[in-house]
Amino acid sequence: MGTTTQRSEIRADEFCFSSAELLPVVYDELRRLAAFRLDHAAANKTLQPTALVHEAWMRLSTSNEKIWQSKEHFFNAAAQAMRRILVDRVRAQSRQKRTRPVENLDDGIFEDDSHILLIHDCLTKLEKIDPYSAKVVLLKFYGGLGSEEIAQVTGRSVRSVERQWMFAKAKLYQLIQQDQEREE
Amino acid sequence: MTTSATDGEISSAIMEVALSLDDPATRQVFLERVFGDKGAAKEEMTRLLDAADGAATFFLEAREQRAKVTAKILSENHAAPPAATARFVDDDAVLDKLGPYRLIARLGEGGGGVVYEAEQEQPIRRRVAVKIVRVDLGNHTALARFDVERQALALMDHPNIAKVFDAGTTPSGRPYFAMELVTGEPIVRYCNERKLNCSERLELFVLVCNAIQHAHQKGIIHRDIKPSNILVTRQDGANVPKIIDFGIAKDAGAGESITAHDQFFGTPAYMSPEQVAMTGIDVDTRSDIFSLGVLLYELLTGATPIDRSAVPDVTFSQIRKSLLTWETERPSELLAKRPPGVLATLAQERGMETGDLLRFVRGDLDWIVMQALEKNRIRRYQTANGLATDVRRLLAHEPIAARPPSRVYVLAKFIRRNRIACGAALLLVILLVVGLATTAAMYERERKTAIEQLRLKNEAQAARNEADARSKISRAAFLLDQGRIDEADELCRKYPLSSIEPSLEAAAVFRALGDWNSENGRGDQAIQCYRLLREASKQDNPQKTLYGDDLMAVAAALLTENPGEYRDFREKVLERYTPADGRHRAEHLLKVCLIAPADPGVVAKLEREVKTMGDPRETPCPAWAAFSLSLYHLRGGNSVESLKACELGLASPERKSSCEASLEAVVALNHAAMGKMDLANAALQRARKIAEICNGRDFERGVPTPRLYWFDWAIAKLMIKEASARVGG
Repeated sequence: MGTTTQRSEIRADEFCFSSAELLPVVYDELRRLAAFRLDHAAANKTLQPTALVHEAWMRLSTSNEKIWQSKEHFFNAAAQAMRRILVDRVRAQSRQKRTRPVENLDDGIFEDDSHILLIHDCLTKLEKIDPYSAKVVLLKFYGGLGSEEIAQVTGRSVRSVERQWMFAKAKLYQLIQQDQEREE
Repeated sequence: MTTSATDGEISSAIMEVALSLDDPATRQVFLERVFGDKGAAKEEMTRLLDAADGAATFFLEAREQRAKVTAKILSENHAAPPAATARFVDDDAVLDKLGPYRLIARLGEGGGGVVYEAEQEQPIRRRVAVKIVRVDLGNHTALARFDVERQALALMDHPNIAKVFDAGTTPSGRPYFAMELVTGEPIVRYCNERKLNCSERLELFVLVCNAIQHAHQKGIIHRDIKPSNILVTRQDGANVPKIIDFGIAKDAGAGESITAHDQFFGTPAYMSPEQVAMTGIDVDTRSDIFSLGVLLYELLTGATPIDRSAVPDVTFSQIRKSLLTWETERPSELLAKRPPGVLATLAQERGMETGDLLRFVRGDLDWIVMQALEKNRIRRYQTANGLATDVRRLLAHEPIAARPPSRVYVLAKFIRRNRIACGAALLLVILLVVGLATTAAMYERERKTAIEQLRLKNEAQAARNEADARSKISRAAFLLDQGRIDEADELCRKYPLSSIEPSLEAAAVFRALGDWNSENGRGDQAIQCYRLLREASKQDNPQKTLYGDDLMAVAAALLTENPGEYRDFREKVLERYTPADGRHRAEHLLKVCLIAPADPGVVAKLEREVKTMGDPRETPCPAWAAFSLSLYHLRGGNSVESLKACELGLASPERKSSCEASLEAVVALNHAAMGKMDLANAALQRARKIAEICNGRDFERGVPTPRLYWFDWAIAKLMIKEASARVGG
């Protein structure tokens, strides 16, 4: 999965699937998964980005007529779509920020959401050196899946997934640090 | 270069175990054993471990950003508020009967489920609380684990823990519990309304600790200890706490994984640093100890160490950051800073005068609270029992364990610590074995990881053996203290000191054994202990070490047995412990470094310490401080100043005999330096006479001192020896 040729582009055919058969089963699952708790402090305003998933699905299903190879395949694709939506949104936001007059910047909307971009860039690198770690990050962070779901989807044990997630986070973070040192 | 799946599995397994080792030295040893001579791989893993903490923070912030951006996208698309997700719909809401229970009223919601008051009709009629757990029915693993957990809960049988009577499943298949219906007030409110004074609060707190200890012994961690989960009632004139809401629901709730490292469970103000750190460390029973510490803090001061009400709307990553970095104010400091009005209210809620409240909290109680709130769990009380014991000892006016190292506190401390070291290692083995069994059974392709796990298990076994040896030696030290010397010797023969890695936990053992050997004239044995103590102390905060007597003991032992080694020791001490922070520490450092002749370089390095110490008469031990000052001038060649300092010390009414003898020896050395051999000889004779009369005992104002420090006389003897060589005869 996730072989990309360019630094910040996601390969188009990652999104080119469809299946009327698998859709109802997985869509229900996706809706639920999308309902991740955002944080404890805001426990009572749980955000359920069903619409996001829907948008992801639209992108997926209108692309062309490929068939889902597996549930894993679908979740990968969905997570990639989410990744793209989030990354696009943050990019648009930072472009807007650059073109806006300085005095209007303190309205709180255009805060720095650069983590999403940094993760995106370095995930592309990680995919090349450690595909399994990269997959866990993709499904966890962009897909919003919990360890149990990832275990179900990838056929590993929960314990193994969690171990890999802890490992992958540290590895990805190292890549991000290296990038930033290079820039300085 | 691509990492293969198996390599990845193995690396992550190593990382997981390494992270679970809190003690940096142990972690280092572990990595050395795992990687052997593969230095580059070890380096890489070390860097990865270093990145774990930053990574946790980074991803937490990233999650918050993701939430924010998602919210923005949704709002821009005018998405309707999403409906409740299908599987969490409360499809049992219309229930009025569950097995033998008739649901009467909904009591509340939280902690992963809804709680009802219910009436049981068969076999006995009673009121119970029924909690229906919110769990994803599609998640079979979660349901299976849930089953295991409820069996564990049923094992708990303690008067201060709400009992679990029964468990079952609702018609739709969700698990429920029938529990003892607890009526009562949350502990903090109860204490304030009933105006319980500090002693009564502590007694109540001890009951809570005991109950938590019971749960821990059954292998259950509460994870969410806070006032609202401890309800207190008055029964037959006694205050009876009941702990509710143990572990399960939070684990199985919300369909998330039990150990999800990126999920928060619990209430931030009461959570332990490792609970919020999310670097992948498994939370253990010591996390509950921290929460108990927060509770104790609140019972005493009316506030939690991190007061969330001060900053109401912060993100979780900010709370996490402050939990990980904040410096806790001692309870007495916090109280002292409160405006008089607030303090008066607090005192009133405790039925005490403000002055009494401050005096009660200051000192030992501060130490107890701070030890429970140690950020590093290896420095915390290791068990709820340990915490309770200290509180009880405080109430009985006995010395407590949570003090900086000093002789009086040593024995209880190392016995407890080592009992735990043993238990912790055992726990690690169990965790690894369980993990091993599950993974190996489930997936063939994890077989290779499993083999690696087995190897890791053996490493853990080695750690356990060491802990075992350590506990045996603790036992030996205990026997020594009881005068059972033969038994102790036998144990020490079987478990040589060299089988123990020097660590903070071992320090107390080394100290006690070293002292005992010194007191009993076994200098060669003592020196081994002190060498190990020296190694172990390197892992502690330097200023904390300086606060105790360890350095002086090591210095005296080395000088007595092996003066060459002392000089090396002195250099290291100067490097590591200067500048001293505070009078007492400066005084200690001067004495440690100047007890033997020193060249001008050494003396010059200590100039700042003399300033820090200031006037000896204003230090806690004026006579010894005067002695330190006299040593400084003696070694610097200033006999006049040195004699003045000696006079100061000899005039101090609370000087000990050992100190007096030491001072007289310095007087002798000064006179000899000025060529006044008669005066020198007279002073030396006085010093010898005192030592002779005392014959190993020590006196203060003519009364024997309650506690003898062997190195006080070791200092005097060293000084007398030096003076004898100088004066002759």
